Amino acid sequence: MDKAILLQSDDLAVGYHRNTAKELVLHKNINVQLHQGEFACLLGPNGAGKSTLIKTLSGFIPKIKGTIKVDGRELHSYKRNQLAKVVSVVLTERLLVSNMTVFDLVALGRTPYTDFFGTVSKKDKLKVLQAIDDVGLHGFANRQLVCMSDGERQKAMIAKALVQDTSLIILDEPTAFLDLPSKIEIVQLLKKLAREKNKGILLSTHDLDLALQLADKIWLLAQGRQLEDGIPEDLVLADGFRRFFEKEGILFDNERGAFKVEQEQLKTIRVVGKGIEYKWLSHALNRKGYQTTEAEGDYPHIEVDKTNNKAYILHQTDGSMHALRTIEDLLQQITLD
Amino acid sequence: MEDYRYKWILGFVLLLAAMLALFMLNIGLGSVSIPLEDIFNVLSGEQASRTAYNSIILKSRLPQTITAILAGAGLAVGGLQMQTLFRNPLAGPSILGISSGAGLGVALVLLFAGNILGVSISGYGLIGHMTVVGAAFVGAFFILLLIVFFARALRDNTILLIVGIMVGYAASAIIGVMKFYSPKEDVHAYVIWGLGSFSNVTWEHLMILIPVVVIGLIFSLLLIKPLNVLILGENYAENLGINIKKTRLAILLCTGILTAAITAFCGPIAFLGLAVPHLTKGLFRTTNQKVLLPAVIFAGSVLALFCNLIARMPGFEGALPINVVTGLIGAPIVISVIIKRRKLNMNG
Repeated sequence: MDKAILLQSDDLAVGYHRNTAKELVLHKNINVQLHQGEFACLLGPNGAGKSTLIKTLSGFIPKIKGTIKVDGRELHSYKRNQLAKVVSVVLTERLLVSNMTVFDLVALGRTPYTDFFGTVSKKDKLKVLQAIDDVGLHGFANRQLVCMSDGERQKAMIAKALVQDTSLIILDEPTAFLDLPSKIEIVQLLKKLAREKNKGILLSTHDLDLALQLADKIWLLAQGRQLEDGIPEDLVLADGFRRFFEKEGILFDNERGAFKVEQEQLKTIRVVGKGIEYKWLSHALNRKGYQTTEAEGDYPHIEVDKTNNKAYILHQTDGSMHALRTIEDLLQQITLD
Repeated sequence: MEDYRYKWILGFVLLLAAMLALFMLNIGLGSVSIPLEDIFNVLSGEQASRTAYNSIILKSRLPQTITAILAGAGLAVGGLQMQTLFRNPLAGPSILGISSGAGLGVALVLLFAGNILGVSISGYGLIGHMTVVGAAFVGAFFILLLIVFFARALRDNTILLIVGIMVGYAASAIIGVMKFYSPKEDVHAYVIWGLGSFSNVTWEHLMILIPVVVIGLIFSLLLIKPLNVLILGENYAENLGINIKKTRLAILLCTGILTAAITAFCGPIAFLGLAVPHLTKGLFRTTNQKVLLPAVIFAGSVLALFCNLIARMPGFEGALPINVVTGLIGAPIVISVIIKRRKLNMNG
């Protein structure tokens, strides 16, 4: 099935017009596409220029060079009110307005369609209530915004974007100040909405884990680098994350799809065992600066004994043996010797 | 939704009833009390039981009451607009220095003219008063134009707000210098103007004040939709199709015209414009400007009538300046709002 291209940039350069004479170009040669039903994450470390690109794509600031096409039409050829029906946004900022209900907030999303005084019609009302349900805030319509959690408020904002009836929703770090469960919830919700409502959703974030697990496409951006895009797996295999995120002492583990901190590993230890206990034991040992191996040698070895009430049996090189119940005790025992 | 609507209607009925009652009290009470029957007679164009009543009501109390209604409504709308535009609960109609501008104009006439040209305007009665009104108007509009100029150049609302406050400070500083070098009587005349009054407004003045305030209020009704969206902040508003710069300019002009006209005729009325929107939001518990705007118009009138009544209570004999009363009522409101907000922040 060929899905329509909702957002397309060709040879795009973004940055700031400091004054008419001088331009500050942050990124150039950006060629990206976003399709219908696709959930893309613009990923990059803080200060990479994500926000500038997002603002340019959603029409807040002018581009410097190239073209941006939204729904097949040049972005800057849209009038303000037309654009409001094509692109909706959700931003980082916290909205703490007292006396405002979820319904009031979401209803403002109908602004591009309402009359001169902003009257909310019966049809608008139904749309608003539907959107509130769609983002999982059923029964919250009359709830005050100030009495809700940050995550719930951002969901209300997403509902606002939904009733705006745009084919494209662009979110600028909407999860930046949320706790981890809320982050996951929001990103999952966006992915679901992209699929079910057949919208193109672009989210900027610096949360690599989430993007890697949920994004259909990832756009990688870092200061002074060319934007790279692709599906998460291809980017991992092409060493994309390594190159974009690497700092001294931090390594992107292509196998695990996560970062690991490079540590000096002085001593070697042999670990024998299987299962989740084995995995976390290795994790703990690595953290403490041990290199783990399964090969026999002239070093201590640990046996993970799952039968015996999750005991860890430590065999020292001098032949002594300790059975320990927790990894913490084990680590203590090793350092004692 | 439905029980909200019921509450709103109740709120409007209450405000309207309070307004009518205060209107009658403002006309009836004072150093001379006038019976209700005579008030109706005079207002319907007939003779009262005493001829003095006719002239008291028609020449003094009626124009004063109408002025209070207009000033209260206009300043409250200005306050609501500024608080919404700048998303700042402490903004008021004079936050951008417009009333300081009026003060500057008046100071130039009362103090500077007295000092340099050797004419003491304060001794010239009605002509002198009209000169003061004109000067206040010119001063307020000068500052308004300055603010509009900055508004066109600046994108950020917070910076505009700071610029506005600074302009106000600068104007006040110039007034301070002039006060320092002026003779006592002129300074006194300026201080009296600065305390504000609804009683200096004659029917001739009202011929100007009524149309200007009415136009300002109608103008404000046209800004309901953009103001509603601005609650979300400029970025969201822009994304919803609102032209931020144009809207901001329209809001500034609307508040500016209302404040300039009212300040020119009544002097700088403190606190009303700041306090009324908070009171109204407390009563109506909504952010919808469609409800809030008419509500602050009524609530502003009610509070202004109430303050005017207190200022004229028997015992004060009309000597209590309006700013003293609005300040005494307004200050506790502002304090309670700050405390309430703090609580809110601590909870969330």
